[in-house]
Amino acid sequence: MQPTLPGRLLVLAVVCMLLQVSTAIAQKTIDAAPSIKFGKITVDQFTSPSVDSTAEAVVLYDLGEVNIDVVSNELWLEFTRHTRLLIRRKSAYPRATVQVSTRRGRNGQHEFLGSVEGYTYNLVNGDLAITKLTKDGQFSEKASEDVWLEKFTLPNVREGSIIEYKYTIRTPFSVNYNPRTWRFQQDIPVNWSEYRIVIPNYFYYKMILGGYLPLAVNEKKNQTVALFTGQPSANAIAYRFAVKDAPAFQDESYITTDDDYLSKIDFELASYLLPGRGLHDLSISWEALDQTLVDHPKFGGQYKRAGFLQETAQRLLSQHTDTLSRVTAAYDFVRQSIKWDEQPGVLSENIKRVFDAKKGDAADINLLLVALLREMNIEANPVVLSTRSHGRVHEAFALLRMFNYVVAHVTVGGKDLLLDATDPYLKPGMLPLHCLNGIGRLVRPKLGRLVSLAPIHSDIESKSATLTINADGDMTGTITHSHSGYSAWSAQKKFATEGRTKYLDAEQKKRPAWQVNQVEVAGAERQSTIFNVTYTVAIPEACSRVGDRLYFKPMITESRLENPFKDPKRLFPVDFGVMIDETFSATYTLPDGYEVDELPKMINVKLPNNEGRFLYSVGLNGRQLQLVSRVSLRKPLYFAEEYPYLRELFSQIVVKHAEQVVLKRVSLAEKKEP
Amino acid sequence: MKTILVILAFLAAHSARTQDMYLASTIPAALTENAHTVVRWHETTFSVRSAGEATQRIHSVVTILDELGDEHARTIVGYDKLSKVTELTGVLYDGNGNVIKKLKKSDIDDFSTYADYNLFDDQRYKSAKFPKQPSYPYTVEFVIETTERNLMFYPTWVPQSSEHQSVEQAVFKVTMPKGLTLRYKELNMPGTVALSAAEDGGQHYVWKLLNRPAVEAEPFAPPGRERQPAVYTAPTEFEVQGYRGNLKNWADISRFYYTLNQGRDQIPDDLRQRVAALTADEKTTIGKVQRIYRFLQEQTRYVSVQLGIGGWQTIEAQKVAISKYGDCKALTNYTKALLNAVGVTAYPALVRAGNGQPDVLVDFPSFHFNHVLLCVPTEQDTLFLECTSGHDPAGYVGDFTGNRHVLLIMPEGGRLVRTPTYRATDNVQQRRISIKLTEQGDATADVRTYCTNLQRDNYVQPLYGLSRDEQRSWLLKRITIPAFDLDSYSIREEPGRIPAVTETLSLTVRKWATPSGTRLFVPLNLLSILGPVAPATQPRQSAVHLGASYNFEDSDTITYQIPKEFTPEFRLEPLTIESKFGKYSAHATIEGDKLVYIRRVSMHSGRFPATDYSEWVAFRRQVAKADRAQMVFIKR
Repeated sequence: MQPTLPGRLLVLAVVCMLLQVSTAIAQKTIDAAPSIKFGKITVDQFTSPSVDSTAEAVVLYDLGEVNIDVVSNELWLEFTRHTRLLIRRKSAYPRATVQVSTRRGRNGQHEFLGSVEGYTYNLVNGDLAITKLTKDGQFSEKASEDVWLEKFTLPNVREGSIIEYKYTIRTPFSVNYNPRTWRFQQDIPVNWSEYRIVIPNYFYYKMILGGYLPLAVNEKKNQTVALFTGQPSANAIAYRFAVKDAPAFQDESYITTDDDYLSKIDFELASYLLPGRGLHDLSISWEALDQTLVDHPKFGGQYKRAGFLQETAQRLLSQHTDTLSRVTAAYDFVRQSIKWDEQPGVLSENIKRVFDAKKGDAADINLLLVALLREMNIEANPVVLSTRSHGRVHEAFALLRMFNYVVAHVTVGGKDLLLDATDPYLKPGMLPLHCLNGIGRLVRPKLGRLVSLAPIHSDIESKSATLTINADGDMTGTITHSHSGYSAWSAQKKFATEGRTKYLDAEQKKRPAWQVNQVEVAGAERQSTIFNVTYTVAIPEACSRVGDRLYFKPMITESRLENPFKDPKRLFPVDFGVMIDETFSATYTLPDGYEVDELPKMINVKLPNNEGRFLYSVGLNGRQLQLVSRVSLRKPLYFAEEYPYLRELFSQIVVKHAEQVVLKRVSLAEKKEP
Repeated sequence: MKTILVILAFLAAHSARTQDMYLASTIPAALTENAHTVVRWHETTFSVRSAGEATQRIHSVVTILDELGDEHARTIVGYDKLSKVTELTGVLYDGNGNVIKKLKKSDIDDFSTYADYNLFDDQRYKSAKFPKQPSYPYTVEFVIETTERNLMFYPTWVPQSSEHQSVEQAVFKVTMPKGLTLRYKELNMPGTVALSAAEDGGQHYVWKLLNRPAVEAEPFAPPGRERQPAVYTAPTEFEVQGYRGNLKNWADISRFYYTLNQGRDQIPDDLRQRVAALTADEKTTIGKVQRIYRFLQEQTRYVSVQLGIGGWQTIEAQKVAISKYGDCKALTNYTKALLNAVGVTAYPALVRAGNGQPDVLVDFPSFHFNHVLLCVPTEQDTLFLECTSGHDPAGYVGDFTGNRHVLLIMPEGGRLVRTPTYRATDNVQQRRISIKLTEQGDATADVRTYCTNLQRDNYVQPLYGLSRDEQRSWLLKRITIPAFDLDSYSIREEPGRIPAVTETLSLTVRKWATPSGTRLFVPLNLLSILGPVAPATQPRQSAVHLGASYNFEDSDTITYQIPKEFTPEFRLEPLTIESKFGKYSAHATIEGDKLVYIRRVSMHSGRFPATDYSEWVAFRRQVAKADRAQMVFIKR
């Protein structure tokens, strides 16, 4: 039951390549590229095999080429894409309509789409029929102030058609100097996906390769390019990457965001040095990123001086003496005064204005908190992070665009404390679920470091019931739902936004068997660490009767009914975000004249290394039947290798939760027997 | 100019009353009950200048009471080549009526409808919103003015369009110039129109609505239109891009659409010959229609290209013959041309499509359609062809276009006819399961499910749109058995005139039955459990509405192979639950070492008084309970 090499797949194929390396090393090339020329097709392509013959369509060939070019003394990125696609089923018809977005820059400069060509190939009685894309099938529309959409749709497409198209997007450096992300994997199988880029040595790009698929081609070659007229040719490196037979990307539950798992390649310009123009340095090391942020007027510039907070700071200082209560007071002050607009954010225009307007995004609010703490002479600094839906932060790359969120950091009693003042229901040190995403960067001149965002609280739901069963099989008594940690956070929040009636209605709707006579709610206020709801209920016909026997599920309405992991296999880690603890304990008083006939057996299942557990036991204590069911998941993330164990654990849970207790009627005479 | 003066005068008359509409404190208590927002003032002024031009001005003041009302701090206005937004302004007030800010240009977004299925249309939107406010209540005011040059459509006024929104005052005013008459229809309005003379012989029409408390949608309620106050308006004469039309009755609309698209149904000769050859050996009209429909399904695809006369003029059939794509109008027109080529007459049929979409107002002829079918009268019956479907058998309309009125397009002016309604017996699900149980409670199950018509529609996407792996994921999500493995599966379309699908599954189920000492508890219903419905927590207001999807008949026959040495501990009494909503029955019989459980449910759509809701809940509770029936086997 030991998983082998946990974490092997998690690390992915993230590699760091510094593209300045001048020695050319021919690297691995396992498979030869298919020889495909635009506009030239052979009949055998219509019967191309692929990794999944039932997919609605197959990308036969997908080639992206990027070059840097100089036109009238301006730098441009030129991206050419050539795609060939076999349409197998009608549901793939929308793929014959292609949409490319282009960005409009501020100063009249913009990206544009040039030279779109396309063909549809059909086999008609064994003969090749070719239909060309015409102007009729091309449209462009303004999507917003900054974005235009260029669309084209291929003619004469039916089941079995092959479509092929080629287009070029030209991007001025002033709009974007980073090539578009190239995805080797798509939602349909891709037989061959290749990416080529030629980078003159004037440019220093960082490259991020991600995903779970191996590269079939990974090459670099030296060459020369003549970029500037009147300058000698420059050395350049031509890179070539390809993935062969990529299966369709399939989503799985409990993952952060698809893009963290897709096979793709990304570039980030770190610096460039053009002849006669000097060095353009962009952030390259973590220390440099820290410094960039600290010096940034919309980041460090915001919390460096905050005289407008002096009065508040003095007041809070005079009201509290020790550091923790001062930190908590500042945290509460910001949370109570400023409302979050539900937007992330790394930079803030002006925290004073945020303070006056009483609303802002994550950067506005948490940089304001940093400023207030500093005004109180507490060493506070911002931590930048990436939310789960925004994707993973790679330790190897100090890229500002990996981040989309800011929280505040203080050290209290030698321990890191992360504070997110966007949410009034968090406890100090607790981050909201969307922030639980690996690592963040503590931004501090010279003393910056990566900090773990691993949660210090679990999701704890503890339910208990005290119920009396009557001879008709009805139950009466109380059931308490007790939430703490992340469970209390989400329940309190829901209770506050929806209101008592809606919240309780929803809980009761999930349990239609209940007749609720009374409800007591405790700990709904945000300071409370535990949120309790106690229902006084009657559950008519909770037991079924057959002859002289009554039987019921001792998990009653609180059982897990389905295994969340139905698929036998899994590729990606299971990322719950937090540790989970679910307990249900119940005491049933048996009806007079009944005795236990049969009880479910006790079970205690553990994951390897005791990283998760399910304990279930039912026992009789006098006239009382006692049940405990406890599910503990002691890690926020389980690797794909551990998946079979996790799936089995949940299978055991749902099976056990369905088991029943049987009670037997005994005659009084029988009962008196010793 | 005159119209503007009239509006100003009208506003002035109201200003005294509307001064305190920016103060949250003046909201009557009854209007805050159950409300997230209060419409303090909503005024739509529609001023027709001529048959071809009008302006519309909407002035709204909404107080937002809590966080769930925040979404109403925004407004959206659509426009296209024939309409222009001439004003979009807004002001944000605090609860005391003090101005917090005015809408700036940067608060307004302008975007196109770039939903991916829409290849191209010229519909665009402007949307404006105020940021989230730190405290409640606050008030937003918007003024939107547009000019319209497509007067096929006049506005529909629905002042209370959202749940949890009350309305303090709303006014709808239409001004018609001399010689043009307004047609209108009031729905659920407490009062009726007030008429007054406008300058130069024109006419004002004014409707008002005061103090409407917030409403909350109830489950199984009829479509909102049946309760919402609304005024529908329509022209009698209109003009759009040089096309003039009358609009007094359905025949007028039919004739107009015909004229707009006349002559666009020509196809090349080689195509005419091809379809003639294709149908040469077909004697019946229906046979010809089926051949041509299949030809269409194989050769063309749906791509939305919505241009020309506000999207009402089709691309020529000749163009479709080359590109092989088009929107609903283009494909319908193309099919009509193909059928004409083989001597079959067909008529486009305008429809208001959408599952749960209310039918057109039969007594109020207007252009409230959004889709078109092709109607083909044949010897036996009339077929309605959905020309954008790649899969359906000819004549299937489903719940997207079935069971409603459509307008036939004929040169002389067509009439309303009805599309087919699928009855309970049309929409069946027949399930046969054979289950082998072990003494430990584990089971293997072979399941075969046959579905028709509306019940088959659930399978369309997985059947035609998913790869085999994706089908597996889809099935895993659908099957709600606690612990199981899906060993094999298939989903197959059954050929025939009605759409039908057969699904087969092989399952291994862990502990389907619970062994407990000498007993085995067996839940009898494996896959067809019908859950209860939510009981009313407040007194029921609206009628109980069961839509077309409630026309169904399900049957499950489950044969259990009982493990050796086990016998049933009791006899399961046959159960029948009958109600006005439908009928349920279940019984189990023992045949040797087999137990056969048969369950049938037959339901039908319908409308029942609000007082019947508790009966509906009780019926569903009884059914839910019966569906959880279990059998106990005891070891001898």
